[in-house]
Amino acid sequence: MPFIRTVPPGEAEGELARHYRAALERAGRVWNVVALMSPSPRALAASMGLYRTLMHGASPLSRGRREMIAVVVSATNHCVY
Amino acid sequence: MRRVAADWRTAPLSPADRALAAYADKLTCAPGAIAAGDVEDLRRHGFADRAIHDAAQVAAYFNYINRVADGLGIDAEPGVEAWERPGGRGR
Repeated sequence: MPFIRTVPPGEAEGELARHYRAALERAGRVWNVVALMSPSPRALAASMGLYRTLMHGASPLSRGRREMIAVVVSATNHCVY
Repeated sequence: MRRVAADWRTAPLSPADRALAAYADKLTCAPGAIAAGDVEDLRRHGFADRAIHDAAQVAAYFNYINRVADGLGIDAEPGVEAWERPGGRGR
């Protein structure tokens, strides 16, 4: 369970409901990281917008390369520096 | 991708991919230590300004979203690999 209360898709209203619907249409599911930002629909929209721009937008880096960077970062964040 | 997730240093990466991975790793663990030489290394492997910018942004984004996820106690997505999730990882 997350440390904060998150809004389940079935309970979302208004702006949050719109964002959940868009997430469902794009990905077929509401990822846990999306639900985690349900306390702030504006932050959710901005964060996911940045994600889409960086990961799905045009770039000289292929999607595969960008995903590789993401995997390196996430794996490395297990490190204690 | 599984090999990269386990340890990018020993994964079979091209020299250019290895340079990107090293840059992303350093930006993650020692951002204050990044210097012109690190970016020069990317240029030597054929990456120009836009590619370098995008690499920094992607690496920084996942550092950001990892911290949001960890800070708030994200649940792992069952049956999905770390690199298939937008947040990158989970418990």
